[in-house]
Amino acid sequence: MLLTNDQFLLYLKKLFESNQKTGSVFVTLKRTNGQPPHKTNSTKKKKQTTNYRCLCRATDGKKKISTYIEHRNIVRFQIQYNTILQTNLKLVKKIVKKKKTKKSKFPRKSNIQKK
Amino acid sequence: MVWFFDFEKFYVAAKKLFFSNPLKTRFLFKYRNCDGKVVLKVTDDQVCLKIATKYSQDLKHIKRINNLFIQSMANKDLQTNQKETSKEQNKKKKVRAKH
Repeated sequence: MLLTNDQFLLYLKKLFESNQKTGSVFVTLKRTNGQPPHKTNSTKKKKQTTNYRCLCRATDGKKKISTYIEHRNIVRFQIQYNTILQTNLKLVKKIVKKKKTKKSKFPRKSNIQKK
Repeated sequence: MVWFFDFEKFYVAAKKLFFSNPLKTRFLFKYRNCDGKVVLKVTDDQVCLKIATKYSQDLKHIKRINNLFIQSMANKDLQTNQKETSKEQNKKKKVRAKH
């Protein structure tokens, strides 16, 4: 289902929320020309006007949504998309184990009592 | 299918693959909340690069890769974008060298 950028981001949020317990969310990004990948007779005749856009698709295996990102909407889409990822991706914190310092066999000078 | 374990190397390889074949390469992001796992995949139907993580520290790397692809794919001029991304890397290298 082709949507506008704002609608797409709304539905993407819902996809993340509905797939919290089971399931996965897939998001694909691809650059498009607006032309089919294989050359046909119609494309050869028409003058090729290159209008590059980013096609963004999202699915959870059942529902499919998509949107086109144009050059003027890049920054706005990026900010909103990053906030959605920040809120919905629940990842584990990496525990960095501290190295235990070994106690030296030889005692320090301060510990030695002067006889 | 090539699995990566370092985000810096994955970033460099993904960028190289995209700029060699911009219309065919696609970037895939998969998230499973029940497993708490994120998988990133970049492919041009011949070469496939993958990386997986479950740590929150890698979120900034994921965002960086996302931004790279959104900007490069929606951009008209790819050559200027390539130069810009290489400038960013040079800046980072200089900052690291100082420290």
